[in-house]
Amino acid sequence: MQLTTRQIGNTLIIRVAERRLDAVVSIRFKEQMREATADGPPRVILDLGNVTFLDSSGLGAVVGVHKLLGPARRLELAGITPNVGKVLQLTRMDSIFTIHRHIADAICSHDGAA
Amino acid sequence: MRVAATRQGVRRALVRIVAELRRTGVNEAHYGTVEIVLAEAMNNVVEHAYSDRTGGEIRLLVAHGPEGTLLQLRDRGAPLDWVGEQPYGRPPHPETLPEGGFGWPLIRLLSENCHYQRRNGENCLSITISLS
Repeated sequence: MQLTTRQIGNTLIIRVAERRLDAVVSIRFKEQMREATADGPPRVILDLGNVTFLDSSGLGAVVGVHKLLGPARRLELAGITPNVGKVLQLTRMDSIFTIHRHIADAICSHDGAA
Repeated sequence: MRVAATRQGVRRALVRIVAELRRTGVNEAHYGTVEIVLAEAMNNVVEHAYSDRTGGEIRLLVAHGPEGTLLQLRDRGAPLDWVGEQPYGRPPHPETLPEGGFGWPLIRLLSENCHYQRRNGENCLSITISLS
């Protein structure tokens, strides 16, 4: 499970380097996200641009990360590929995340992020 | 096709089946749907039917035709708690921030038909997915 992180202003961007966010990696993903976001800025964007497959375990882990961040911080998603978007939409979990088409939109959409 | 009933076994089978479907020239939306449904069905077997033992196996049949794709999964794990047509189940409510319970609703929403029977100690799940 590989994640790459960078910080721009008060935004932490975490890119999932894997193609599949599934039952094989979901627990490790959640643990690594916990470490990557500890003591970080309030806004966290998860860049899923590389991820072409998300199953229910992967989705559960993304929701789990959202909960880990607590009420004062928020998790946003970016770079949703078609099949990942299908799972988010059918489960209606797209309603609880702010979703950006591209990571660039996500960064630009936020005042003072630069 | 015989699939080791492990998370890695499921992943390997999915990658192989999607590659085969892609070669048939079927559109991306369809093989994407097949991949989601098959993943949820096989992961259910790994996590529930075989939850109490290792070394289990899923016997998988994938038949693709002009109308769509038929999936048949057989395993010798614990039975499901229903038989016949898949009962209606709502996905969990998003506001409750659920971390699971998405699998069967996804299968239901993405398939034309999903039928289960238990015979001679064997689970048999048949799912049809229409070509969109």
